[in-house]
Amino acid sequence: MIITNYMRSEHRACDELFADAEKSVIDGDFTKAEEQFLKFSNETLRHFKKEEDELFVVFESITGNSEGPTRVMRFEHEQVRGVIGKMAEAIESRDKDAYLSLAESMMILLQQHNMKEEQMLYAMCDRVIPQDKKEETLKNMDKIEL
Amino acid sequence: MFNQGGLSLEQAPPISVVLRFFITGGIFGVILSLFMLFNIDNSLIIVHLLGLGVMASFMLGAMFQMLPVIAGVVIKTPTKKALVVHILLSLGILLQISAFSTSSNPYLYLSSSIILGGGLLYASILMFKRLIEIKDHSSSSKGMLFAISSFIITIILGVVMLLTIGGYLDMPYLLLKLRDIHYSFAIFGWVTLLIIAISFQVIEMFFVTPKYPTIMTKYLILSLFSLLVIKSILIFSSIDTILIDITLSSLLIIYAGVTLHRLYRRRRPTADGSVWFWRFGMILLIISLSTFFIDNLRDITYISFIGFALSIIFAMVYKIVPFLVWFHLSNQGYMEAPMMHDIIHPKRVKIHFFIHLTLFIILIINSFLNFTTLNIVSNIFLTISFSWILYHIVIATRKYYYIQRSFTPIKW
Amino acid sequence: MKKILLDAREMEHPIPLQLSLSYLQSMSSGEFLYMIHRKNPIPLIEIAKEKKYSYLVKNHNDIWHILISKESDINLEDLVDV
Repeated sequence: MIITNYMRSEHRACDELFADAEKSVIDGDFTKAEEQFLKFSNETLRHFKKEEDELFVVFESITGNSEGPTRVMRFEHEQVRGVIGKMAEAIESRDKDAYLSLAESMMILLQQHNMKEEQMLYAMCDRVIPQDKKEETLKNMDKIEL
Repeated sequence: MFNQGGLSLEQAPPISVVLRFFITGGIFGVILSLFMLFNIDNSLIIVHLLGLGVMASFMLGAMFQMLPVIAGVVIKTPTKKALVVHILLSLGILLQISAFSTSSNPYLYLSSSIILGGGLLYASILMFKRLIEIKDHSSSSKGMLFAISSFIITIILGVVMLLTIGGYLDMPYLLLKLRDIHYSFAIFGWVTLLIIAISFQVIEMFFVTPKYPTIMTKYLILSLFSLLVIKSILIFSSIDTILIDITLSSLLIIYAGVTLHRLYRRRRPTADGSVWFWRFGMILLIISLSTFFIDNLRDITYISFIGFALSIIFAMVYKIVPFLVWFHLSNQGYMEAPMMHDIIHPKRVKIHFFIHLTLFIILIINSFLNFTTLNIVSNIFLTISFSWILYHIVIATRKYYYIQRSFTPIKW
Repeated sequence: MKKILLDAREMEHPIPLQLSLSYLQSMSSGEFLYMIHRKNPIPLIEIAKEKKYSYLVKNHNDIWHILISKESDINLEDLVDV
């Protein structure tokens, strides 16, 4: 379960960063919100990069399937990236309503996505990837920078 | 670890249980609007196509879904039971409409009373029995119990009237009184109480609003139901019901006001289509009840009440359908499960809201003007409105089965 | 026992259900889920029952506290905050 645990804790960390930023927006503190949102988006994009450049690649090479689950996940990452872009614009233009409305779509989108990964993909990774390869993948993922 | 292929959600019925009723509701809606468009002016037919074909279909589908989730009530073998109810309901409505349109064939009245009455009583008594077994009632589950009780009363009176008109029961002198009680329980009991019961749960759940005042969640539904019982006794004894009507309307107007206020005080300012449907529904409820006592505004009372019920039904369908499709598919282990906004896009819901809004504004204006052209326009809007929701439910259903057919679920 | 806190009071449906299910699924036996919610999440409790997990549901001032653990011999009463 080391893959699941590692990736899941990243999801949780991103959730918390997201909630922090939203709270600041509700309080009207956009300077703080901007900083927190940047943290959230960096962490999320880094997490995606870890998956797309490492975990998914390993999974695809072992299962020989790059058209299956990982393709769907990559596609969903694109959707999330799109919303992150819009949210950044909203925060830049200090548009509280637009931000909160996007935040709602984002939360629902992200949770649907995370649940799929945690319930299915990571569990599969933990099952099909050999132990030593898993440890190597985790190490490689730690090195990934944006 | 969870079982193969995700969760085995025994308490949630299979998606087909819900979708079959929603699709049927949409189809009856389109049939209804075609009747109106071709000027078939039989109010009995229109009222029953709307009340049973559209509203009861959607509401029974929603009940099958919500009873386990909201009230913790498990209906065993839901697929089979839903199928039986579905067939009897659809067939029964068609028989009833034929009975009303020929009006002289007693066998049509007999068969529709047996098939329609049987199907509806089977469903409602089933739900009633499960609901009454609950030990720990929430305001919603208790409310549903009163709504279902009202439905049972409505159905029994309906069956008695069908048999009376068909000549199988000999009490024509009671017919008018029975009709008034039948409509009271259908409108204020079944439809309104059910919407209130559901709102106590979903307004807070879907939209993250402040809670309803406890006095309201505790006593409103009980009071309304008691008022309905008293009203029936008064009707039966030929005593004027104006005081009861005023109390009933005031309580409902207060309820609608409180609901609007909850929705206004949402933590998130976003308003998706379904929030707008709820808001508009509550405004229409207020319009309907405040014109209740003015005789020459009777049309507005009826129109806005229908608008109120349809608004809430649409709001619920657009929330329930994408969620269910996504939820079932991802729990079955389909990585390809579409995101909720790809199942029915929120923009499509907003467009429907504007169609719906325009329709009811035209209807209310035209109740003063009575222009034939506006009448035709409103009937066209009605047809578009029902076709719109039917189309989107069908598309969502197709997406669901397409994913199931085309991909392999992941098991671990 | 490690507490996994999920404060779902300001989350819109169906996020609380999604989150709690995914926590529940990947939770180890040394952890327990502590959920705070404005509604009694019946489907979640039903799943806990079905999986034979220990669970505790408490309503305090109209706020629901839900504790779920995969450990069968655990006294959740000791862990609830209210």
